[in-house]
Amino acid sequence: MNVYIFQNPMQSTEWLSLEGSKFKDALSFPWKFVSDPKEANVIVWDGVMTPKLLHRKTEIMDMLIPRKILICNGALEDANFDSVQKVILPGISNRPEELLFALAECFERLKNV
Amino acid sequence: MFSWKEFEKVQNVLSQAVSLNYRHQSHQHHVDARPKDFLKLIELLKDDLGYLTLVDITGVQGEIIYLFLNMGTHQRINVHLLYHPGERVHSIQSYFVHADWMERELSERLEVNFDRKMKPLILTGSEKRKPFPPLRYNPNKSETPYPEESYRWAHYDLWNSQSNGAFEWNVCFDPQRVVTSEVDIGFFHSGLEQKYREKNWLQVMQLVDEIQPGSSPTYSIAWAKNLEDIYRIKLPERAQAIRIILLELARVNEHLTVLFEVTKALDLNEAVLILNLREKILELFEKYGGMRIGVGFTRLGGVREDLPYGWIIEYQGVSQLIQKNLTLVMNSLLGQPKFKSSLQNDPINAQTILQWGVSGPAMRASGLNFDLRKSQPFYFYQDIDFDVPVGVHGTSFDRFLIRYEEILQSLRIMTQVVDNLPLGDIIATEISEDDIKESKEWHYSSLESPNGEAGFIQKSGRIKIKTPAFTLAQAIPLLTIGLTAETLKPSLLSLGIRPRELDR
Repeated sequence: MNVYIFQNPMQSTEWLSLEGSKFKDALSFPWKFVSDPKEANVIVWDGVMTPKLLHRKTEIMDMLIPRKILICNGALEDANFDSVQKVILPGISNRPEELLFALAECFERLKNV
Repeated sequence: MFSWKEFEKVQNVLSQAVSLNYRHQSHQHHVDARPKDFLKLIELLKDDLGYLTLVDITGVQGEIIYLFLNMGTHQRINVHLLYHPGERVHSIQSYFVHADWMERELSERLEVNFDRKMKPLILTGSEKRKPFPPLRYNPNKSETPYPEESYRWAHYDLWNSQSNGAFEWNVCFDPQRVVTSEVDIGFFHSGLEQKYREKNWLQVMQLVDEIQPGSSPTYSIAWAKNLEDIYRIKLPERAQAIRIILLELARVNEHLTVLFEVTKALDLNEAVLILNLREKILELFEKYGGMRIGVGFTRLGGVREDLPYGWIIEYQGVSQLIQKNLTLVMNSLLGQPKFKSSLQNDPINAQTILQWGVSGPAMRASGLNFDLRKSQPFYFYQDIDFDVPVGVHGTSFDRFLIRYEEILQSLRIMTQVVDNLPLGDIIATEISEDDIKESKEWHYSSLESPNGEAGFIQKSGRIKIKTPAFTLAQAIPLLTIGLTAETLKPSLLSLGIRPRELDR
């Protein structure tokens, strides 16, 4: 499973933690971070649509659709992403364990695609 | 360090040379000016009094405040430019290059009528991808290795790893090395300053760590320090000591994050070792206050928690582990030719970096020895024995080494503090919310965050966040000259530009 982090200021610190020895092998399936959204099947983004990002909405939708899952938090109501599969994180600041649960949820969903 | 003798000297000059209102407050000079006298005053400050650094610009309708710093004498002056609505205001970009973005941001917010043409910076613009700007000069004229047509432009959008997702970027190569670039920001502008204005100043304390969670609780301590200066709240010694520990832990955390990001971008195996060390710092935060990042630890007049039983022993173990393992990692990195060669941009001298208003490790990498913990010591930093590492060439490699050395210095600071930890309260006597009346005077206070000077300029109805990322991002065209497409990313990451700090 390939995960791409689209700028996610509040959580980027903890997403990095998943690459350390403590959490790296916590999941039973292979996954990795990628630097190209085209290679990803999971995208992480807080979903905050700023005035300037609105001009990039088409590009964002192209990135999210098709066959991608978006991990986001409650901020997503800013944008209308009904057509995108989502896994919503419980809060703004999450522990690495919660991020791992979100990844596991994505993996389950991808199996059913 | 700050000296009253120097302060009085500047006070005498300003009260005589400027016919307008002079006053001082919290060890800072304040001068009022009108647009017609403004440029003369700027020349006096820059050429005669040595105020070479423009820290920030902000304002409200009818008043713009310019914050200047003299790094030699550690004096600060605030110039209040009073203008009538619609009146033409002189731009100071020709005196301070990095005033460009500050003036554009202000013009966008307050519709100030500056005497130069300005493109929007944060809120609007970028509806379409901009055409690449023409090269009006041959940047390598002295070398003339390539004809003009061989220069090529590359566009890095938000999804491109070269821009780290924080901004869009047009870069001109010659055709191998970067000669110039153009940065477009504002994509993650979430209106933090507006959000804070709608809260009272005590509530803001709980929100400011969202500016840069990776270096929290730096911003909440900066905010608390500002309020404590305004209301003359004296912190108990133990609270000061714990705040120093938290600030240094945050510094180590952020520096380790940057070292990890750089080594990972270079695809070096040492990256994971650095990340494992950072994990130890996050565990220390968690043992202290229940959160892996330092959010919510600061209170007005002190801190939320005392150090729990056993924390100091835990810290001593982590400190020894980091010192030992990080030294091994550095020795391993320095033994690899790829490591050093990938972090070499063209040298940047101290004078140039000063003109661009850059602070923190990026400034010290060019040889400028300036750190707010030394020059304007707060709490009891002046009693602690530590060194400020400085570089020579201003390259990304120098920045990397400075961050490494600053980690060791932070551990040295924390070890001295825990060895001499004062007894007593962790919070000043209970302060009522009713006592906190928003001040009608401008007030600026800052501290040395991991990536540079960070603080708040505030008065009733206006809060401006001073972040190091804003000036760093503006200086990217300078800081990346000489890099290749392959080495852009690690060099950019070594600056530690965080999106919320950049766009606020």
